[in-house]
Amino acid sequence: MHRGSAHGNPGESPADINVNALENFEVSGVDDFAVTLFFWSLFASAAALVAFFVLSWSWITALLAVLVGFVVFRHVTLKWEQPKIGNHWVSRGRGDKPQGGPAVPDTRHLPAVYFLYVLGSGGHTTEMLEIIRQQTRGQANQHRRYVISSGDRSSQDRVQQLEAQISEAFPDERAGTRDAFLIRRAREVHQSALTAPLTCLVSAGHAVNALTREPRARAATRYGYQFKYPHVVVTNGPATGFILCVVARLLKIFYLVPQNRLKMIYIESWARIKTMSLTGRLFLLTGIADSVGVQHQALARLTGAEYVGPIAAG
Amino acid sequence: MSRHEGRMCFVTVGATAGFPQLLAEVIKPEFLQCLASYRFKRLEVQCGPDYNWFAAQVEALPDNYGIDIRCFTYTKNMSLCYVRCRGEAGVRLAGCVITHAGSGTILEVKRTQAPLIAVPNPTLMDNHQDELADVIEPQGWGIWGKLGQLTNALARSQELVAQGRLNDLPPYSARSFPVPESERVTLFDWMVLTCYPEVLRQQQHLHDLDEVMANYEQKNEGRGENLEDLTRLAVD
Repeated sequence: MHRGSAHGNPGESPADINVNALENFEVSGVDDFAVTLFFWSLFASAAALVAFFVLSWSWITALLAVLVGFVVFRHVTLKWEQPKIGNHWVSRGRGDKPQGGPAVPDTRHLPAVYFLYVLGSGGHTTEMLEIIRQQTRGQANQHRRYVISSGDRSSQDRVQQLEAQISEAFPDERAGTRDAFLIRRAREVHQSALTAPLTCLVSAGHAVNALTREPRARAATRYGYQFKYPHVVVTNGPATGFILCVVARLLKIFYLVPQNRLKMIYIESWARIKTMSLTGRLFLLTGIADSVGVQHQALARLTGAEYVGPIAAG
Repeated sequence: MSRHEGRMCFVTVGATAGFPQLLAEVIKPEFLQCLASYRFKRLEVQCGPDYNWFAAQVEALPDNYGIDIRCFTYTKNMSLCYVRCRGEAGVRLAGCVITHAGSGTILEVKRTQAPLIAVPNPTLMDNHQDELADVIEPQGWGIWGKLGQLTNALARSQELVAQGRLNDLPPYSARSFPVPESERVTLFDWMVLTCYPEVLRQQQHLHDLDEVMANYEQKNEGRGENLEDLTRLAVD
């Protein structure tokens, strides 16, 4: 496989971007947002350390209580504010109507439509790619970002296959733009539980980057600023996806990103018929996702999650 | 009717981990004999990390019962292998795909309609595979096999082939993209709209209108009434 140019240059039309650009997208670069956040969190930890020695226990408890209270309050408010999901949302689109009315939902006239998909490995990737296939349509205002675990060659290859299919179907700018983001795996397959928290932190740092780095293809375009943060984050099971969602929620809780971005959807694996996976249970328990979808009716009845139909089964 | 290719059996252990027990099982003489008795001509094995070991095992086989055995580590285009196990009228008889019961593989094989035998790896702690086991046979997606009982599973799989007429399927066509607008998944689009509350309200209204319109048409089917009151609603 030949390697294409590193990235589409700003201002280049979206259709010109080489699919192979996915291969060369590294996490090495960081944007201002992540750097600023990093130094602020360093500052905050230093302040916390000083406070720990200077303040009395009652003060420490009080401050911690205020912090926890704030986070919980914000979390609950965000949950309260999230829109009710209608039944028709999860049904298949009603499409080209003979009467000529617009097919809803119509997102073609929005300034930006930006999806971030978290790919896991093996079966997770297969399902996620099918979900993307089932929902993508040609519109020039869309951007897709794929978050892939570094070292997962198979997922990278398959994303490129899918992207090739999309550009074949939409050779013009309707294919939209796309990029890939390689992030550190939260836990290697045989990693010990001792070092896992550390690597989780590293991948959380990478997640901030993946969530806030503006797509290069859109940087200098009209509405480019609308592409700064993804609208919808879709994940279906890998631990990386959960970490990414926790980070996204925290960013929202502390008003670090606009409130009308980073909506999160978790889709439970098609292989889950009677019980939720660990990730699924975590999502249900914490309520950080705006929608937890399952693909079997029996499971939806048991857990109270949203039934979205077997969308990954095609 | 001419059959250009004999039946093919494709064995896959997936991309992530090896499954040597399954590999050892498919080159046992009794299984090869069983394959030969169902007129299988080829056995292709995707063996993952155990390639070298498996290739040596194949070399050392005393007899291959007329079956052409090939193996490789991994291929980017697995669905091509599944399609070659799929029966097609006038082209080939339905063979069989034996997998490690990963959900991704099961999904993909199901789409191609190739006969499927799923053999879970007992050394991996993946309890959700039990759930698949309970539904896979009642739903007709394939056979749930066990290590040590592969010949049995192959016989049942070939029974299913005969029942489902899987030998005479129409030619396989890769599914088209984009998905027709009427079958698209729209959940993600609605979710995007929640970022733009104004537009969401508007589209929700349009959707409700559609619903009313559809109901109205259903009720007045064939009466040819005009839609005056509905247009008034639309203006509102």
